[in-house]
Amino acid sequence: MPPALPTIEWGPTLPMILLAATGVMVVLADLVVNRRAPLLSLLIAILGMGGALLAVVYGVSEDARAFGQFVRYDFIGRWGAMIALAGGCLVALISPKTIRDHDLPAAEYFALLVFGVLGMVVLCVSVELFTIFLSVELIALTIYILSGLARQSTRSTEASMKYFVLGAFSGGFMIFGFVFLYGGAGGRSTLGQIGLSIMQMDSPWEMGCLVFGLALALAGFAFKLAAAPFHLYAADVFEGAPTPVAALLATGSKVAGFVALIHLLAPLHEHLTEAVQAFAADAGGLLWFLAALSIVVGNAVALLQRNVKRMLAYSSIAHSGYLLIGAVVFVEGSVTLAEIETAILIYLIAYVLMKVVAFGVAAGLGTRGEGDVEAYAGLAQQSPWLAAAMAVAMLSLTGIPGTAGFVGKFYVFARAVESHYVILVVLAVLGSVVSAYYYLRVIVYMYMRDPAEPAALEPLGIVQGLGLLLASVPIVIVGLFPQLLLVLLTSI
Amino acid sequence: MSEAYFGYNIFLSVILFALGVLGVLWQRNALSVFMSVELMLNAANLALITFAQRYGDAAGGALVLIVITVAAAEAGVGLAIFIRLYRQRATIELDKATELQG
Repeated sequence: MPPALPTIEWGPTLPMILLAATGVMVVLADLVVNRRAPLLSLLIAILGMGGALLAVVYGVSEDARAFGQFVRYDFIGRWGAMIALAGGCLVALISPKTIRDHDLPAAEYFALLVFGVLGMVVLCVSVELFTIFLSVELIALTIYILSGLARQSTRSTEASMKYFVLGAFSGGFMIFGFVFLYGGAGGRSTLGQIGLSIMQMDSPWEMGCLVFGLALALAGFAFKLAAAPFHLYAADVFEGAPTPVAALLATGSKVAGFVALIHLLAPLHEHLTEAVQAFAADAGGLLWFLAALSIVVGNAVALLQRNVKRMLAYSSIAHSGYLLIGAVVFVEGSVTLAEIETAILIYLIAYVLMKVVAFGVAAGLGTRGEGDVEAYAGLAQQSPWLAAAMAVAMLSLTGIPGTAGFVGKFYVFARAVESHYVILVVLAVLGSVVSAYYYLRVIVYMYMRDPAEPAALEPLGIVQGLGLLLASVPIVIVGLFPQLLLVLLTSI
Repeated sequence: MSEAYFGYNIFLSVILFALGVLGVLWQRNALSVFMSVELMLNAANLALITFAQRYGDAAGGALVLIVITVAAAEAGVGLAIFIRLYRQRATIELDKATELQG
């Protein structure tokens, strides 16, 4: 009797199929039309990513599975996929100005963007080691190319090269760690099975393999999240890469990486046996260290930065630290799964919105936005709307009440206090206070200094303006009515 | 495969991996660094195939192909980046690329 052919679950795979088809379509459409038409590529990319978003919202129920046991849309994974897709749409919207300024090949740009977002969606929902590795590499490969896409710019090439060398290096750590997890679990690679074998761990040899594997895998993830001490590439890449690419790297890539990290740690959440407890204590200690160091290093070095994009890079390192507090609480396990995952998701949503706005304004200012903070002087007089959007993003990144950034921090820190991580929370709050200095400096320059460059700004363009509007208004709405977001998280 | 060979193979893969890491940290030429990264990936392949054989998991052998594919894709992208770097600066020494402060 021939073996039964595996069935394809069309619902859960549809978003991925749509994205892959969109990426190809963007390139084909450019060939057919035979002229560089950025708006056409943009339109196809937005339609594809928007369609995939709808396909996740309406076509995939929670806990849907696909590809055997390899893909599972659990609560955080399904929402992570949605955030990555929405973030991808927003990044696409803030891109046109940069494409014009740096003369980027539009079709390639948007095709790679869509493929990168495909990697992020798959990473969010994959619960098997090698699927995770593949999607991590898909994201990394597209961003290597995207960050070097400004052909004339030596800075862009340098950013691409630095990200490539360190990305490939960390990819090596990740896969070597995964192989040892696979070996320690007795030749099984889905995360559920690995969790089972941690629970039933009997020999020191298996224990060694699993601990070694998890430590290496965590190092690989820490790199992808730009958590200190694995953050050294971040500032250079953010500065040299085209600004919207930096936005993609800061948002979608980090969201997906963090969701995958939570999936990897999921077997440690419930301490069913002593072995799991010991394991969770080790992993929690490691994560605690990463979180504390990221908060301290990110905020301290951000103080010294004059260049706005570099400042945003260090700020994203600090925010990785705040997020990792969520991971520490998750592993500690005294807060329920739904509570901590909700807190993390709220933080991620707020984080994506404010980073997109900050990078979107920098992109909207063209070469001026890539310069030092002095270049932002007097922006409020020249373009009140851009300045207002930037001000909202900066206040939100600081965590001022009334913005989404505050809501995100509040939920994560509150859960951490419940789990008695007081030192970590004190550190994080102190870090937020320090961060006010470098975030508010941008606002001071925009509103209280005379324009550095008297020349009038180029008009922004409808698409770019729409992107900024769609990202900045929710920051305020979520900040003022956080319960709306909670309702959204439970209802969709 | 006997137990003894299993241990040797894992040991060998750890050594190869460590050599790869040292290579990345010490080499300054971009191509040498890239070769060291390939060594790390192949160390992972060796460990993977060893584990797969020991636990009789046929899928493990197929997973090696995935890692090899990723390595090939990385080579494609990476060499293109290095060529661009060479055209712009006439060198692929990593520490000569210091236009971005840091």
